[in-house]
Amino acid sequence: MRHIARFLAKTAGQLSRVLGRGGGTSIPGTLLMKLRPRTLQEMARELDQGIVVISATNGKTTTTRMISNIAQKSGFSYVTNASGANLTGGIASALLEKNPEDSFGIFEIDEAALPDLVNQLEPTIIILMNLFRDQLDRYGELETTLLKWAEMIRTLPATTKLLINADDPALAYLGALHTNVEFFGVGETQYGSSEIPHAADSLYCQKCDGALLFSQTTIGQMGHWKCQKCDLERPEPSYTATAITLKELKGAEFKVTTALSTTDIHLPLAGLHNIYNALAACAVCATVNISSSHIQEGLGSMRAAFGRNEVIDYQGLELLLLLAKNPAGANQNLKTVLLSQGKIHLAVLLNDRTADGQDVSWIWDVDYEMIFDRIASLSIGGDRAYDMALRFYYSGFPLDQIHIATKVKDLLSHLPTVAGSNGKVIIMPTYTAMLDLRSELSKAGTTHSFWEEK
Amino acid sequence: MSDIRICHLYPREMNIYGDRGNISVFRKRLEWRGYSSSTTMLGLGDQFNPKEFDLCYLGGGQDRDQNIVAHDLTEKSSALLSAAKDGVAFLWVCGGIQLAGTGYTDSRGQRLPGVGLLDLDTTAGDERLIGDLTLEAELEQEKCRIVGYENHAGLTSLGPDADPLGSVLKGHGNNGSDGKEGAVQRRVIGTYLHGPLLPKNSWLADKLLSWAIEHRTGEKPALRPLDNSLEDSARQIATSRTGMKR
Ligand SMILES: [Zn+2]
Repeated sequence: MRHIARFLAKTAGQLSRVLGRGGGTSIPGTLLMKLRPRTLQEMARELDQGIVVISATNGKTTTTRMISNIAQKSGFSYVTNASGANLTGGIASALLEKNPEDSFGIFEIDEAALPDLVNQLEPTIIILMNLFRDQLDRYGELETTLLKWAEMIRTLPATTKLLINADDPALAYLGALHTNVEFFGVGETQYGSSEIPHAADSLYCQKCDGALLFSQTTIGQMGHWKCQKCDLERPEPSYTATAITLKELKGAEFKVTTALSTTDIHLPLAGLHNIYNALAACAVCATVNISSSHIQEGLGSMRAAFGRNEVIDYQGLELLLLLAKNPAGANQNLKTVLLSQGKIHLAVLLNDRTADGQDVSWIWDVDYEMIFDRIASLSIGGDRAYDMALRFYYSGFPLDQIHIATKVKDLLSHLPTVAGSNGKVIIMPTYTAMLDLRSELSKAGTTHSFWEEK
Repeated sequence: MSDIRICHLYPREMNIYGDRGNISVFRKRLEWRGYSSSTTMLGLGDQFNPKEFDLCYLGGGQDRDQNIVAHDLTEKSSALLSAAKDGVAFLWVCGGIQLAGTGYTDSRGQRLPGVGLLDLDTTAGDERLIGDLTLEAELEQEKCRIVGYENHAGLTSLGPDADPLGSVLKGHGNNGSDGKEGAVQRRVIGTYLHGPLLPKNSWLADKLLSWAIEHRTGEKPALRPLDNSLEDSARQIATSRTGMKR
């Protein structure tokens, strides 16, 4: 029965692709889970070098790709959900596609789905990277996710290694619930700030409700923190990113420092958020005894994940795609954009479909103002373009300088008229807006479909 | 002309739905009409002086933060009540409407105190009421449709001294059963339509601003109309999300 179920499910995925109904990235798995729910656990147990699961509000996809890239350089045979389908169906689909020799699993997992999937996959390593406010209509409050994660951690076997971001105060506190835990974090850096940004969450102590004091903040509430009332403070990381230099939009250089070694990393992905992603990947790979030279090689040869710092050539126009789906992610993108020189042609696309979250309030927590004086032209698109236009209007951006095109096609044809046919445009879309954009671009013969990626 | 003085309460704790968007709308609509304004952010432990403000805003937060704020608010409640009596305009949104009432009973039966600005009380419900909402509001015998987004677990019932802000056309409203949304008492408005409610509902913003100006100057102002073209388009789309034609 189990082979029949797997066969049927795989066929469904192939059929879906042949019929052109999207990537079919979750369909086979979803079907399989209906036919034979226990199969997920059975398939997971076939991976005898273990499974690492990655969860976070931001950075799951990129970190998963980083770990995969490093694993590949070091000769691991692994299976991963590279398409970003990160619910049960997506993981089951990835496992269905696994080759007989695959012995290692690398899966990004949706924050809300993590406890259930951890239960089924029985991972050897769980990496918790960050929790920011995100799609409150879907995920609910951060506290809800935190409580579910805490419950999950309490039932973990001691053999499961927990890798946690020490800089995120609420996550670091979860570390106290488990014995087999190590932390990673960003050391003192010139890119840190002493101010707490507007859209920061978890500003109160998880233990005593006292206000947290920050000597450094990096992204949102992440940084060097301690409680001003009790003894809780940022745990000492085993893996620290030091000597960080951000090289505009080209990437970054930094060192990963542990008690025993220091590794120089050249990362071709821009922004401080990618330092966190790479550091998390280093921690995972060091835990499974991958050599630092393979880590360097794997990170040094990274290409951007789907829509994350991805550069697309559209008829001579250079489009830089920066997926922006929540305040912390969008703010980090804006900061990354500020690393570049000169004026910016910016396009912002806002949709409110299920995968984006139907509540568009979050755009008011993004500090778009930080790039106002760098904007050469502003184009706004997406189903909720007018909400986004109001966001800029009420921050004092001149109304007559906002170009609005709700249809992606119209937006794309407008871009060369402002940026010039050889110009550069930075595009910040929500998730489904990015899918729309890519579908329009692939009609123009510009990009490949994302389910072709591996 | 004297500044219109805005008080933004607990901007650090109660800001989860982009609440500062509402403050931007107040400030810009004043500025575009030639009024200057000042915004004071008051947090935990700060004094609220009722003589210092014409308009007071409180937004929404996570349960944990709302708990922390509720206890701090008890220190400010008599000052807030005296400001309301004096005709200061209030907009308290989402968690704000709950804190403006007499109290909140959570799912474990624990009682969180309220300020008592609005005659209403709130009890935790079993499920969250989430989604786009349209209501027909009425203020000073003037009717207007308000569009917004709600996301709350609390079920709120009004007492005799508070009027609803309006009747729900689509969505859940105060408690999902009586068809009412929000509350009004004197110049205090509470609503579950969270975060940046005002960019798409400038009628409501202008009501609050005219009250605030009147409180400051002693005269009812005639507010100059502003360009509403973006708002009109955004409202149309938001209204269509509730399954209503315009
Ligand atoms: Zn503490």
